[in-house]
Amino acid sequence: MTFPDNSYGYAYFNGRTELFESPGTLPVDLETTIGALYYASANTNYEFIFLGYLSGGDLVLDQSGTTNNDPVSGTVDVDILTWGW
Amino acid sequence: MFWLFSLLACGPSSISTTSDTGGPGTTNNPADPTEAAFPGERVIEVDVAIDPDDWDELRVQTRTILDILGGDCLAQEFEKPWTWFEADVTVDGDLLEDVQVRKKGFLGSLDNTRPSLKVKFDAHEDRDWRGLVRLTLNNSRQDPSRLNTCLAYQVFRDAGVPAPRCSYAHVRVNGESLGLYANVESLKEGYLERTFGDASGEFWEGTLSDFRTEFLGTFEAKNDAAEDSSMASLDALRAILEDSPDETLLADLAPWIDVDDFLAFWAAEVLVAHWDGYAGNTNNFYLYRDPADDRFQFIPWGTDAVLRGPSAAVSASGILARRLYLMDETRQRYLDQLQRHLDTAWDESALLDQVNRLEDQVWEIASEDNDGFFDAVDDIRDFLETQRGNLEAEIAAGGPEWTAELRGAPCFVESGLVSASFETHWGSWTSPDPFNEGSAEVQFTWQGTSVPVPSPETPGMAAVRSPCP
Repeated sequence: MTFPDNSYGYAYFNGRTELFESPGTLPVDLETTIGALYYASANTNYEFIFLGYLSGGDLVLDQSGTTNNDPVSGTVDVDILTWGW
Repeated sequence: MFWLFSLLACGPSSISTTSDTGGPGTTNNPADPTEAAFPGERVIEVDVAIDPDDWDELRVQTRTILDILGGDCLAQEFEKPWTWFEADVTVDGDLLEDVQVRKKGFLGSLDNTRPSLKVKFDAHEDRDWRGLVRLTLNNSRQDPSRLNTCLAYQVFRDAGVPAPRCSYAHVRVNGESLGLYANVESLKEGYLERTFGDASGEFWEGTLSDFRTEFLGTFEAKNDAAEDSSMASLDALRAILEDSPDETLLADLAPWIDVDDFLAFWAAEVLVAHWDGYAGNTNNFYLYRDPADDRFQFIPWGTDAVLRGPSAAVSASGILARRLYLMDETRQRYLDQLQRHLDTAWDESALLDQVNRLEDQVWEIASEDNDGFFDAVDDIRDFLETQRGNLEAEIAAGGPEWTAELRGAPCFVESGLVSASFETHWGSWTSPDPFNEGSAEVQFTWQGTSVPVPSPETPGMAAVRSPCP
């Protein structure tokens, strides 16, 4: 599936604050850190719809702090999981 | 393609997810020492003394939704990540040294702070407490009232359905209170002996299990008879339910299932709104093949997310319930059975009195670190006051239509990959234009096709949000 132009993807990760260490690794496993992928385009009236969970990888923080304006940067490599239900 | 990318820092994360009044095989025999283990509405005290390091290891053992629905999902019974730990346990003042404890649960009840627990009294020697070799202590995580589990089992038993006995327990670990738990009768050989008079039949646990090809693998054998059967009996039922035409279904089922008994079980699930049971979710049930007639009896389990409404007069996700409901004759028999439960087993006035007594009795323990206790008890009252009217209206109208298709296996499918690098700053979410506070470069593959990445002139955006809304 190829997204048309002017479409939007939104990757979202939710992890516990105390794990935002510098450097640090947050397992993206639907438990320690939850990831989800959303998508919006003209076909969805630009409303974001849930596309799948993100899991099976790590969110690696090269730098992070938990005080306002602390730099937060890193990388993430994860699978997109959709429901077969 | 334009990318937005955000991190949310919160804690902790999660997927969002009596009296013993008798019944068949529920003896209430005063000579039965196990009766004392389930003292009606009195709260028993359970104190666990365990090495703190062991406790920290025990309580965080877990499985994720990916463990359940990823990989070879539903191909075999679900792996249990729990291990036993040595402990001393005092139950109602009786010290039992050198026993073992472990965590328990499937998904919705998993909790790292107040886990559900199994206690094994006979780990090292032939020993019991009040005739029981195990305690099952459920945290009622999905039930802020903490009352539902026992109330529901009571309704099942009052409706003539074999169900575990249940009372309440105040659990402490190393002196620290974990609050109110449900002390549920462990479904072991002793339960089968007491309930059916013979424990030699096949005993199975159903967890996301059904008599369908793609749901059969998750049935877990709970005794040697089940192990030795190689699932032949369950597969025979599967073949009947998948292949037999309506005209012969009841005759084909007769050697395997007492349909009237199943209707009683099914209608009781609906009566208490046990959406996460067999009929509603093909989950949380046991099967016992009673040697008396070699037919399977259903036993309810996991009744915490119940007694909340509104609920319909039928759930029929399980193939057995579905096939029976879609045939006019058995649909009417089911509705008649539901009405009989309302007439004979559903005494909302007595249940309301019981809820009021329980609330007075347990609120201090049950509301520890549980702000939802009082509202949840009110929800039970609302349910008790409205359930009869809701169900009787639907029964009088001939029952709701059941139009849902049989569901597919609820398994994850790997559909793509996301790789990204990002940079932003803490608190960027509070900016008026949060995603312009940072940037992200994202590579995205969807169903085998690489999606073009944004050009350097139009990078993705990133933001991090804290604290939680």
